[in-house]
Amino acid sequence: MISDTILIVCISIATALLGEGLTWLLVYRTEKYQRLKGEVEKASKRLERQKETVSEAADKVQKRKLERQEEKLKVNNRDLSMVKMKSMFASSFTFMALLGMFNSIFEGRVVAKLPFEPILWIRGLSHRNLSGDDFTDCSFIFLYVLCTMSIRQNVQKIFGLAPSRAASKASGGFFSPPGQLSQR
Amino acid sequence: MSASSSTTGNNSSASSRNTSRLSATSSERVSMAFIKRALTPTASWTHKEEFLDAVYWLRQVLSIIIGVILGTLSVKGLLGMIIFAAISSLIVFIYASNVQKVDPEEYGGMIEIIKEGFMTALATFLVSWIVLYSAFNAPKSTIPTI
Repeated sequence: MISDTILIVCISIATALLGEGLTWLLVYRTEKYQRLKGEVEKASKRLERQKETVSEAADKVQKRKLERQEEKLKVNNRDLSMVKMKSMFASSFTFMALLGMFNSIFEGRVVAKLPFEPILWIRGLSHRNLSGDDFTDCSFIFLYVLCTMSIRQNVQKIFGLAPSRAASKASGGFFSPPGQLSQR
Repeated sequence: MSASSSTTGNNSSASSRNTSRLSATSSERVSMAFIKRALTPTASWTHKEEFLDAVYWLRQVLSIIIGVILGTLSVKGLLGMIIFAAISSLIVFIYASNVQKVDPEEYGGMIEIIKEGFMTALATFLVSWIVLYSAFNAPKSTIPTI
């Protein structure tokens, strides 16, 4: 079992590196991406700085100016994701195929023993394709997803490919409610 | 401190240091100078992101260490999660307030600093915990491994 566990960790390291390498080749090194990224970063920094000063002295004209800048930033952000989209499609197809392949290799195998019993709505993932009622048995997909979550982010950070915090905040992250910027 | 002042001693950063607000910049690659600065108490951070990156990496290292220890000790259940959340948050809190002595308001409050990179750290912790726990508690399987 332990060799399977380690193998899966290695697989996810390899796929994370492959994925980032592929994205770098197709997107990150292109001039268009570099330019857009620079613009978005500069604009979100400026916006953040301005918001700090404007919130203290709320002026109608200034607020409108701020909103206009936000709009521009949103357009730039959209362009940026359009550029990324192309490679996202390519890499997601590759990874779907890879995932399918690994899934069939590890089908029905207990690859790890969980030190906790997962809550109900995670069991579908952690006990996928496994027989038996022992919910501490871990399926391939759960371990792979966890590994990918941690390794991919770290690989991006190490190579400086992750978007800056100001930019991801402005683009409206996964957890931040929409329209958060204009409410302030 | 000498290392931090030598790395930040160019004209553009000197002017930004004089302003009361820290500026935000893109996350950069991990360099030796960055690691040195992160380990220096009350280092001067030229960028807002730099300190948050230091917190992020501190959390990653902590989660691997805690995961390995809990996995080796075969700690089970919710207790493991609570130990992880409590210890890592506490150490980040101590690092920010007592070691680096930053002003939490610059970063949107202490909660924001403690929240930094929590989900990734949780995933890292779970992976190391599960791998080590499986290594010590694996039932002898009759199915041949690949």
